[in-house]
Amino acid sequence: MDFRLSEEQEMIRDMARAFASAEVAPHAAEWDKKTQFPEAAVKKMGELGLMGVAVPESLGGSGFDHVSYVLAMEEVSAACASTGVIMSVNNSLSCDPVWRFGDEAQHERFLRPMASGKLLGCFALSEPASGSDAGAAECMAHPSADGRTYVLEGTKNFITNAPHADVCVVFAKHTREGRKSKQLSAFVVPMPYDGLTVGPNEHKLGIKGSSCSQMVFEGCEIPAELRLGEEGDGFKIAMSTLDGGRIGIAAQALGIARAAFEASVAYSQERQAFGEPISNLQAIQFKLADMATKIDAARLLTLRAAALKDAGSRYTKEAAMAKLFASEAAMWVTTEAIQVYGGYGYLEDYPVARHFRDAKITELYEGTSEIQRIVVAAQVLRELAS
Amino acid sequence: MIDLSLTPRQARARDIAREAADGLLRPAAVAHDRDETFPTEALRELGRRGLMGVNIDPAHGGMGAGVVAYALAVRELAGACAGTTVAMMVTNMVAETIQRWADAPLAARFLPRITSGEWPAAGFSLSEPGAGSDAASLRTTATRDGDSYVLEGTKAWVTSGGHAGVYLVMAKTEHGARARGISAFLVPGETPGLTATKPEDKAGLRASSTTQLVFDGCRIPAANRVGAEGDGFEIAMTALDGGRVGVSAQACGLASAALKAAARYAAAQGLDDQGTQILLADSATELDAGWLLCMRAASMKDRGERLTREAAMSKVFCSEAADRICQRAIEVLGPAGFTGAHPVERFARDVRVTRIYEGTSEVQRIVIAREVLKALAA
Repeated sequence: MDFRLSEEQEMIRDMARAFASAEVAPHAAEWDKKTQFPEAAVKKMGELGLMGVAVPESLGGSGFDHVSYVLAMEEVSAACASTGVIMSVNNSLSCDPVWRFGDEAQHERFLRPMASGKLLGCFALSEPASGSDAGAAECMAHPSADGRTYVLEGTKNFITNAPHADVCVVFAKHTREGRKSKQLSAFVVPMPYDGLTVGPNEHKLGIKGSSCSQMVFEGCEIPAELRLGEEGDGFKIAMSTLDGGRIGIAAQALGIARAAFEASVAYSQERQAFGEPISNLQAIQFKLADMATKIDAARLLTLRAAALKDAGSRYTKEAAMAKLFASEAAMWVTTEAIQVYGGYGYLEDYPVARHFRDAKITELYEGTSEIQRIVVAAQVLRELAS
Repeated sequence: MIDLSLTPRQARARDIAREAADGLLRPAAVAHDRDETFPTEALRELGRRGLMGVNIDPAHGGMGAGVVAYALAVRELAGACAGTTVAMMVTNMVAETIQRWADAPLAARFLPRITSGEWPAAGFSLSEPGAGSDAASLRTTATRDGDSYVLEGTKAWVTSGGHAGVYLVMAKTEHGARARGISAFLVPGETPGLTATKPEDKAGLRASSTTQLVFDGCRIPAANRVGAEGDGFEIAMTALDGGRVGVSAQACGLASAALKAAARYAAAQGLDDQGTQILLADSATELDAGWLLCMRAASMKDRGERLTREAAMSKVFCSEAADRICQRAIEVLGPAGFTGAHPVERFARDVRVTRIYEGTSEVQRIVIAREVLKALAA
């Protein structure tokens, strides 16, 4: 039983921290205010190997483990959660499925440039009328009679990175017959593409520096070579990808929470009330103690899930627990951080208002908290009720 | 490198404890809880199986398996009978304190009798009727008289009071001083001038005996002092850092048993609604989060690292999570969970004290806040 990091893991964390504090943190408030995509920072992350942290070096990535990925995600997200989600979507939702399910040609054409940060990926599963119930997707991938092409039809929703992406992993039904979980197929599509229209950037509550839009497929004909895995593998690819994605979002939430906590500690030591710093007051101390405890618990759950993934063990339950706990901890910590700041916390002049707005999305995307609970409960009943 | 696996020795300690939990503790738990009978024989048997010195050197009759192993053992036992387990925990804590602080002759006199199960338990005596969280304000005195100390005063909330073979007692040797005036002593249970009062009528942990200790001209050899004069506060605080790992594990053991009971009930009754699922999922998640905090603190203690912050985090989180988990288990069982036909009502009563003893949740938060403010001082 050991929760210490290896030297290499510490090195990657320190590298990510140095990059984040020098090139991300100073601009985060501005990107948020202007809803500006952090292009230069994303490019730099590619150069530093942060866009394909766990992809093997032979395929263009950095060849580190998922524990390292979690550490780097936390650092980047603590500086700017928008930059964090751009990184997470590229690593977890774009590189990972293409790496695990793609063939050699797809690796060369899509994975190598995504993992090295030359191309940006996105992941299109949700639709206007189906989110948590992914099996209810209505997008179709009509196969041609000779099986050489598919025509994609339908609308995808809430696609992070879409306005800036060069590659899309998209899920659509090749059939409406048979078992629901076998109707979906996955495709990796270069962008832009004939018949694919990317909608306007959504106006969001938080992570405003990241981009998100609808994608509309109309008569979008793609060659069968762009299919990931076999026909009918889509649901499996989506669910297993989201297992890994949840580790990334847990780490993002952790970063947001830590940033709000550290800001709260610093502010509480400066702000005076009743003749002393408010950090001397138990009402404030208890908040700081609970913040620190929840953050540590969230980090341990997240690192455990990553370590299990690295070991090749099953980690569906552990990733769901990590994402559920870390995202709710982030929401709680950022809410209390505003409380520590008092009225100043409600002003956009201070960072905690941004952390608070950014935290909310972590309870929603890559499976809402409600979905995580259903995933965890199913596993718990399987393990304990027998 | 993050390593979630157990060593063979740790797994063996867990297995020994699991066997004791199933064969020895669980069958008697309901009767002990109902009748408030002290499990003298079961505790002695735990000693014979090595569980009274899990982290004690084999040279002193211990298992020598370390702190992670100890936490694993406590978790197993607590899910069966948390009352018996608390006596075992305090005994282990006292044994560890003796191993760490006592000189060789003193350790040789007391440790084997504790670890072997010759005595059913050892007791730890710091709190007083007027001094709990503010331990430095304790008023019991130990006055040097030649080769002896004479103890005077009243201690409170002593686990295994009236049954322990020996008590580790904190008393003031320098009158008027606070923390620096406290020293630690080993006082055999049979010493004249020491009386245990009638056991408290507790809401939970009813298998364990909790009493006051009254010291009235209680004379002990000066050689029974643990460490130097004035070391007592540090000795007590160090013991509590480790004790908090034990309480965390105890809370996790109760929580784990409650969750298991709830999951089995839900499956047996075909409760597949989302309301039930959410209760189970929250409990499982909080249990795992708590257990990871506990394992982190335990592994740090195994390596001899300072664990004040981590032990306090583990203790406050595990105890509060376990309390919620036991309440949720009752929620899943509904009215059945409120009856003695199922163990979850006992778990819920037993678990409540984990938020109180060895430092209340409030004290843990003060400890954590102090640590984080120090670490991140502007």
